[in-house]
Amino acid sequence: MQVSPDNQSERRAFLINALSGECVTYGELLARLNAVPATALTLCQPASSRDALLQVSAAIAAGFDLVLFDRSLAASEVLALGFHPSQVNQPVLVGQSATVTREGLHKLVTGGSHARLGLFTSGSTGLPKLVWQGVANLARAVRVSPRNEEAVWALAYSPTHVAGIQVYLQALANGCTLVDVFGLDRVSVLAALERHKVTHISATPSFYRLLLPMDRPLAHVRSVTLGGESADAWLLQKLAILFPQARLHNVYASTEAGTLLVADGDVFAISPGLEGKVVLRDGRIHVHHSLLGEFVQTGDLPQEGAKSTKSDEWYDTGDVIEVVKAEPLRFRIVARQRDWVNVGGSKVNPHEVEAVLGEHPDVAQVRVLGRKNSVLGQILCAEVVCRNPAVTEAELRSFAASRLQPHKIPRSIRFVDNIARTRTGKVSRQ
Amino acid sequence: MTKIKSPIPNSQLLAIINEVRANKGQSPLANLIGNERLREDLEFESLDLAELTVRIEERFGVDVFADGLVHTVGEVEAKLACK
Repeated sequence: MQVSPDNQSERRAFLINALSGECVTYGELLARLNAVPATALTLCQPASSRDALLQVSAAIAAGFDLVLFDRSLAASEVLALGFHPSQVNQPVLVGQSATVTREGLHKLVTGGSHARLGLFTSGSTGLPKLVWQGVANLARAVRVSPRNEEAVWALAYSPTHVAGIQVYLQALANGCTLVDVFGLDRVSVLAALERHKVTHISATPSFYRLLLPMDRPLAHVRSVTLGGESADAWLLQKLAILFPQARLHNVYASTEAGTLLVADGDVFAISPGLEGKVVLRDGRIHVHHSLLGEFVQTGDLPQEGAKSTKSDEWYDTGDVIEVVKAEPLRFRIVARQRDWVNVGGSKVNPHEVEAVLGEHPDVAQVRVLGRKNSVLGQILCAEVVCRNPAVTEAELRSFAASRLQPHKIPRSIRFVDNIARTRTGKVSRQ
Repeated sequence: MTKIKSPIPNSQLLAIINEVRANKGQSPLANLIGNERLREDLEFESLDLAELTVRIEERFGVDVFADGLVHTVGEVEAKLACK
């Protein structure tokens, strides 16, 4: 399509790389989506946020299914998920769809697209699972309003995860600019927030904790959302000082179900419209299957008929709550029941890490557990029974590093004579 | 540099910092300068900082990041001195 240089909305930045300053405008995004012949990826392990979001945009525009792999996954991890690394990042020709316009993009996000995204979630046992989410379900929390048009969003989440996709959809639906700060250090993040006058941030408590101590308050930030881990009152207090003009939102979401609860502070309520679909039962949060994405057997390619909907009517999130007030219902999330370890908002399945360390020829027995950590909420530690006393922690770490993403590598490995049978006794929650 | 007469010998903290560095393939430091910043100068990322706290806690029983993040090696030393 022809991009008119006069069109201000098309000259607006869609995505700015905070480090390099490299920018993709909405006009460039549209030109790319309308390019002929149209090729795209259906299995994408992006090298950058730019790569990821251009591919997701293409999938949304043309209405095809796209599986997103984390940038940091090793080839062996991709294999373990059931995909051959050589299949990944192979362009395929996709049918030419109708020309996409700026307004059309907005409509696609808010219900017009048939695309599905395949995202990986930590399974309760074994390996991460592939979950298919329709764009409409992912965009459920997206709010479109002329008031939102001038917003500048920080992209602080991985664009291959549900939270990053939600920030992207919110920005795309409103024609806002995204500033990519994912994975940057504290100084670069603070500089980018100031330079681009970021107004909206959605990130994990660990991300915000790492911005502290603060140099000076950032008054241009109007909205601060926390999700992925529980946030304590101490952090919320500090954020109120760092972002004096911002409303603080605490969000509860999952890869399976997207955003479900929103709260001010640490007290949650069930979002309007979701009553009866998100319920508290036996002190835990249960979600109705109609809100869940479709689970498929790991490794299934995105094709009709290969999907299987989760058959149980209710999904037990395993997240334990404490009722603050019965009428209207208000509650706090006090613990997560599953074995997952939440490392700075990234959930790790300790069974997966145990399986990898167990492949080392000198490891006889291994247990991986989470330990409370003031920097990242939780951190992975391992206890190892070793056959060979010469094996060092550094050696096991480098063994793990070639097979696992950085946040899945135990940061403390202790050599022990034997390993206690139960995990629960030692797992540190809270 | 923060001048602190620390009862914790620098060498123990140095050893811990060097363990973290070794685990990420960095060369060991010969000594610690108090105003060296953990993130900018020592190039510790969030996972490295988390590991540093675990190791300090194991050795000294002090959570140096409990009440907010510290910037410099000297500030870590100060926390250990206040134990």
